[in-house]
Amino acid sequence: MIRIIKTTLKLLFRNVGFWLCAICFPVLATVMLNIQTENQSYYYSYNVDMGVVELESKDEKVAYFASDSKCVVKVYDASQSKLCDHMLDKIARSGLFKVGRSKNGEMTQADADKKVLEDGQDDRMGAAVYIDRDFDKHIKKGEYDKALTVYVMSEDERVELLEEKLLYIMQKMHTAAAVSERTGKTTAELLLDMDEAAPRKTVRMLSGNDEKNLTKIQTDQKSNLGYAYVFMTLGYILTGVILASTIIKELSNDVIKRIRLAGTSEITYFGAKFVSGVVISLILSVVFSICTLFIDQDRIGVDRISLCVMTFLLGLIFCTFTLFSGVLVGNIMGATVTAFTVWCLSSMISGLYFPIGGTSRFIQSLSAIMPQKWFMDGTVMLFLRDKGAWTVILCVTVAYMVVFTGLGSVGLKLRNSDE
Amino acid sequence: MIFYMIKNNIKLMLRSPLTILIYVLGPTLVASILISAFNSFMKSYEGVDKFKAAYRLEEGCDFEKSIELIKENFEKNGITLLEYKEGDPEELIRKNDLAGFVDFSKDGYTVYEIKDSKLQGYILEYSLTQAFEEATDTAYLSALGTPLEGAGEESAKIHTEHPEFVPAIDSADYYGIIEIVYFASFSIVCGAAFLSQEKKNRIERRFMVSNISNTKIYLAKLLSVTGAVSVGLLLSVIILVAFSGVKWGDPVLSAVIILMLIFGTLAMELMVYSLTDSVAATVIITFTIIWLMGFFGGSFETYMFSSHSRLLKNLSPIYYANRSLVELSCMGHSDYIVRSLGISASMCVVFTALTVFIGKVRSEKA
Repeated sequence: MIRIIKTTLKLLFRNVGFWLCAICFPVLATVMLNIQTENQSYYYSYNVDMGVVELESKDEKVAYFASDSKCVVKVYDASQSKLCDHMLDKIARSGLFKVGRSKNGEMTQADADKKVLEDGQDDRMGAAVYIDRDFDKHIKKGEYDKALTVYVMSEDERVELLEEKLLYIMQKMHTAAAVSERTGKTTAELLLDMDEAAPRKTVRMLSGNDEKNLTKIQTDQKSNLGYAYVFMTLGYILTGVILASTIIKELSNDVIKRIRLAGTSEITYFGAKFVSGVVISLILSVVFSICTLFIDQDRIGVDRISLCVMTFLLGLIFCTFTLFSGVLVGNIMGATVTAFTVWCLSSMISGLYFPIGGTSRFIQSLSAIMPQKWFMDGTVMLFLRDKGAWTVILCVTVAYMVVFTGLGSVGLKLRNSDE
Repeated sequence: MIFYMIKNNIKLMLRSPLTILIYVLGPTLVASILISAFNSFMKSYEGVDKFKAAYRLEEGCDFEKSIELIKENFEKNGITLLEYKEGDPEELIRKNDLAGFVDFSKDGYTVYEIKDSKLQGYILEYSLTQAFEEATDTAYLSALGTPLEGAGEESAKIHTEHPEFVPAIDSADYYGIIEIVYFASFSIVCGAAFLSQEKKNRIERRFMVSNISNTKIYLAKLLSVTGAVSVGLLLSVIILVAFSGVKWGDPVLSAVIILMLIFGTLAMELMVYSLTDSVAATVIITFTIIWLMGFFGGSFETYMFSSHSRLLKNLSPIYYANRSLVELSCMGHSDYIVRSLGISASMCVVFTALTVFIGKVRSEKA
């Protein structure tokens, strides 16, 4: 067995493609891990009733805010006043709208007119609102048409409700401003009193919101880790194909028959190939771990050792799978195409590119068969310091290994008996 | 001679129909998954019909006095409120096909919304919020001796603008188009079978002793692979149009854009093949390039929503094809058509020239 392992590894190490995969994919995975994404939108979409979301700049996109089907409102706030804060908060907590506000003290109406044309091309929202610099003064005078501008950016009927709501709040503020002169209370204090007098509302969303426990940073890190897993999986699959090619060649050259004549069983032979798969998974995981040393721990979200172990286990599953598919397909090209197809579909269905919470039940059931889905779940559990994370990951690994190793051995036996 | 070579290449490709099948099933499957995944997210709001919701009143709570008025007003707006004195909100919602549940108590009220009827739930929540807010504000301000100014006045208006915007496209149209583009960009897989056969049997060396030019050999590969991929993709388009209702804006113009993209990207892929002289290496290298182009160009995450820098998007030829086809579908016109065709044509010319040049150098050396 050791001799077969040694020979296989020698063959692999002589292959330039193997080293290309062993270095390029961990490097690409690390690059993906290091990309700083501002994926606030995903985070926001999972959290009910968060109030106004502060955008980092006027260019930040709000399209993903719509993932729970609320009407998205992007606000360019040139006033930055307390009254404006109050108005936007009321809109955001009304139940129908999601509000993303970018504070731009220097922004003029003309700038807003220009910006919404860009947004109309590259972003998606129900409406945009520009709040004038002199918002408070206009409210006091009752000049509602000068206080703000609503840009209708969709055919969503709810924009009419937004206009009504905005007008209602401004009228209320105008009245409160007039009352404040008599009562000695400020307008903001009066508005607060009115809010406190209103019945307390609580909202419960039944079913869903399975990711609400993650913080915004963790959501971004999870998204990056998903892409890192995509590249590492591809690396494992391709190195697995190179490993499978040794079996395919040995099958066609009757090497296995000769090995059997020497008293070695198929199980031992496949076991040796499996151990070689373990070694190459380890090599890729170690290269990946070394690469991650060049980026901050904070960017990763989970500690490096856990990440290394997780990618190694993922590698074990996919290397074994590629071995198994290689044996069944019986030619290198077919094995490569099968591996690529499985990689493409499994990465997508398992939620490595985007959350799959909103997909149909069928796709969610299909997702449960994909190993990466469980590794992403394990990653989330690690984020949340859930002690059960490793149990899940190890159980999933063992289960897939048993299935793939078993099927691979049976496939090899069937092929041999056919020949 | 070139037609004979094209015919021969197609014959070789048909011997392993799995590769052509990839171009039929690949985009169909991937698009179907993505259509389903982004269906609710990309769906435009189309309003809600009349719906029923339930409520429960805690004895002695303030809402007892106003509930009949609330019910009456809600009924006018298409929301029927039904009282259920007992039962779990989720169970009641599911059993009685309700859109939501409101639990009125002495401490306030709790709105239970359900994922399956979230739009109705939002309307219910909004209507309650607005009703209680208006009632409280009116009462508070009246107590101070000032009625709410301007409420219900027709003259009070806000400034509204209607700028131009790209109409929302639903997930079926977007991914049904985009995945065809993505698979069209990776057409080398279709030719991998005959390329490896050619290499194995040293056909190219034999060609060198004949009087066939490198350009003809190259064109035979380019045209045969393009033909086979186009047939596969056409079948996929038909399936997606029939079963997912994908709408293509201008079928002829769309076909030209895709065809040009196949030529452009295939020319690049054949150049990589002429450089590496290995089918496996070509597949891996070009797959990585195309994946990255697709990643930044909107093949997975929509190009409108992704937060990648504009520079990276602009560097991806797939982005131009995606955008022009999507805009053709949802707007009927696009400013990106000329750019997409220009980039694909430039790629085709440049990479073809390079491949022919590399082939010439190789044959001279040999």
